[in-house]
Amino acid sequence: MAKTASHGGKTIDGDLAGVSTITADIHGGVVQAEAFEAVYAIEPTEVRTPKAGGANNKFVDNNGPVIQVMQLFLIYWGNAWTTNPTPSSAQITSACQTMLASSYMTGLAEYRGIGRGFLRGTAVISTSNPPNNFTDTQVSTFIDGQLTAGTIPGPDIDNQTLYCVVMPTGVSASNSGFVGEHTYYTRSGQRIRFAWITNSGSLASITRIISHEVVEAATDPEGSAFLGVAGTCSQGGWCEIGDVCSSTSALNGVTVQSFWSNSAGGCVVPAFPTRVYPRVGVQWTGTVHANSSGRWFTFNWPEWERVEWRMLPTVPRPGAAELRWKVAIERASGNYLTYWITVFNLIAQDVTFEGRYCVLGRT
Amino acid sequence: MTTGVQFRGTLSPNQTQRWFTFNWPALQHVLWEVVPTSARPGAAQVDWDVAIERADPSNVTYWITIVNLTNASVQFEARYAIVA
Repeated sequence: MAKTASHGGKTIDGDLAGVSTITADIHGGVVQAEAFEAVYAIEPTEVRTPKAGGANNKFVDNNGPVIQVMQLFLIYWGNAWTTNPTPSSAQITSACQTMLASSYMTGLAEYRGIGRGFLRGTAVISTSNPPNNFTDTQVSTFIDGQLTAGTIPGPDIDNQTLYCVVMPTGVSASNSGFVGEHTYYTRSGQRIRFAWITNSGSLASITRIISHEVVEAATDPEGSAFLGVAGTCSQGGWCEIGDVCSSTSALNGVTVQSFWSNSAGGCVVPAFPTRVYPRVGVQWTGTVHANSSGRWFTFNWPEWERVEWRMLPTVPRPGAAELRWKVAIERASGNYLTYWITVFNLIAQDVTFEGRYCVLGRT
Repeated sequence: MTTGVQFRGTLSPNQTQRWFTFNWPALQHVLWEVVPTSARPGAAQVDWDVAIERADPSNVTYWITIVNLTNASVQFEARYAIVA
């Protein structure tokens, strides 16, 4: 809930199930994975999971649901959105896309591995207007009507959708102390997560409020996940990671609000770490037996970096191809990928190889 | 390097589906990767293969076959990286 302005591995022989062919292709640890024979796991050599904070954490996990990869759906409510207001819906949408693709949400990794979201879509609903002094219930009734009418899509299969209703200027909430809020209602047994945002006519203000609600809804969509310990917040309602921070920063030209980081012990607007690209290395060394295959997995690679894989035999043996490999991906959490790499030995001798990575850059 | 998401989609359990994306300059070196957006730890979720069609002298079409390796539906995004 948000308040005031700044709110809310071993080896596998044989193919992978269902996959018939393989051709050559494309952090954390490495482990050989498991299946028919063996699978190995490999510990990352350079990527580390962020510190989870300490005993003095302001915000603790109450184990309720979180949104690992948010799908933001913006709903512009009211006829005013058809009259080319300032800022326009297109400007707000563009700014939100920029924010979601930025480093902003990468700092949520300390909260159960939550990662960046993306813009699922937008809708302008001009067939009705939001009432002044609107309530949460009026907003949820509006959303529910749109879902029933099919003017907005239903929640995605993982229920990671946050419906965010952006009001026109001049429309306030019934609680004038709030300029934005996120909460949920239940529709046919499913939780519909939504937020509403008031509009002062300033793009910076709108994106600040949206950023606040986005990080809070990701870490606590239903008031049962990451919440402040007693005494953390001064206001009523859900005490969430945006509620104790008010500073803002511009990320790629978009104003966002800071949020609390337990590991940093303060309010943060995360930036991507400074890293050199491309960056190459050997993640692990393995051996595949003659005419067989092995499977390894390597974990805790940030989803926001692009990694290519290459399996290189270590002993010269001219005259024939020795190895091919196949990469599969697991989204272990919003922020982290696990690469599952199956290596096929094409010859009648054991082959030792290096599992080499190349981090090409940020995505 | 220029990166982006070309398309997003959903695969039913154990489904294999092919997509194509066209009008990519033949002189560009484009790498493709398919990343699940359904966070589900414990096992590989998707793999993919890329095939190429030379549609005309200047452009290519990429045909991307994506496989859901799990017994649950998986949402994903197809990411490109133009490396040169």
